[in-house]
Amino acid sequence: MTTTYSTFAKKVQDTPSVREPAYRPAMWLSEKEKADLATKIGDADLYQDLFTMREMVREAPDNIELKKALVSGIASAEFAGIDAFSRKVVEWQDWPVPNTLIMAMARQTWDEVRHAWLAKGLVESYGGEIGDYPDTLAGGGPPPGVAPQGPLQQGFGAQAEELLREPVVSLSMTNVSLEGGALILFQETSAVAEKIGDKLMAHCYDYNWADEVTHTAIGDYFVKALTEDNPMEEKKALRVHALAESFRTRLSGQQSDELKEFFAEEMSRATDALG
Amino acid sequence: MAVVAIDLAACINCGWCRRVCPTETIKYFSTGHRTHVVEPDGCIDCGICVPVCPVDCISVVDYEVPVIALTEAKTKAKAFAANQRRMKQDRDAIVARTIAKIPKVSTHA
Repeated sequence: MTTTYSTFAKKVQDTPSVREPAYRPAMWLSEKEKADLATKIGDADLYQDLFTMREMVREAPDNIELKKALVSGIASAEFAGIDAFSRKVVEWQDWPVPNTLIMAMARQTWDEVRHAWLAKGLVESYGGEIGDYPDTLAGGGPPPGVAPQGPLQQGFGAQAEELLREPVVSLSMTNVSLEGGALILFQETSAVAEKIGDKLMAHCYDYNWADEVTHTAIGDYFVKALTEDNPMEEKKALRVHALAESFRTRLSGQQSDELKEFFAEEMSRATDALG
Repeated sequence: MAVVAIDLAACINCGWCRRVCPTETIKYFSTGHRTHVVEPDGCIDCGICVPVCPVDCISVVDYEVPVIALTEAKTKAKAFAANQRRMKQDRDAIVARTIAKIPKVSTHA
């Protein structure tokens, strides 16, 4: 499914994502930057594993750098969210979608702004600032000449970028799968913060959690609306959800038998189609 | 005996219940549709999925699970719990090892 974009949408698409301070994705750090990060948190490779970072905060609640690192890592997704959802407000005006979906994306952009604002305040309460730690996710994407490595790139290759512009694909992947997964991270982070007596952190992630429920509900509602009476589109949404979940659970070793079987069936169908 | 059931009209497909289900009896990807469905014969009535649902759409209903299915489900749940314990131990070891590497200088001002 494709669409013809307006001049304004094309201009937005051609405008790179920027932030002040500039995005500094963890996966593209120099060796020196990695060594500096390791000095603060023990192991630079763990920085992007937010679940392990959270457990480190639980085990060492007096270590302020671990708290800054955890909050900064989560904040990256909020900044990337502001960038991504605000682009959808413009781009999706050129798609055959209800105006209420455009308004929902505008609301979601503002929610992400508030989350970023909360994260900024939280990091500052620990004596740090945004930019002290690298980004786990970045609106800026990889440096020139380096291919993106997300789940869609793994599943759909060169078509991934165009596919991700489709409302059904984007909503299924970001709102339903990723934000649905973030529910657990926020709830458990809030619980850890409560346990270690950090009331401010607990409150912030409890607040974010409530918004994530709404974002997941928004995504699910509009995927249902956009795929109603269109089994092929519904199947596509399910496949994208499976890809995103597979990407996330493969690392944690928590991939379910159902998900493994889903991909085995997909592979078998693809093999049959090739003869 | 009781099992759980999901109100499909209220479910937002966040998948949290599916991820915590120790018998993997809450299905989504194999349903052919974007719906979370409980296969009752795999439910051991542990209740883990009920409190995690952010929209409170999981309820308990009366249903008699056949004995053979229940035995199989309980075996699966034990394996799931053992796997969770092992993963927690692995993560705890990584956490302890990593924290030990950090110089003890960073504390609240």
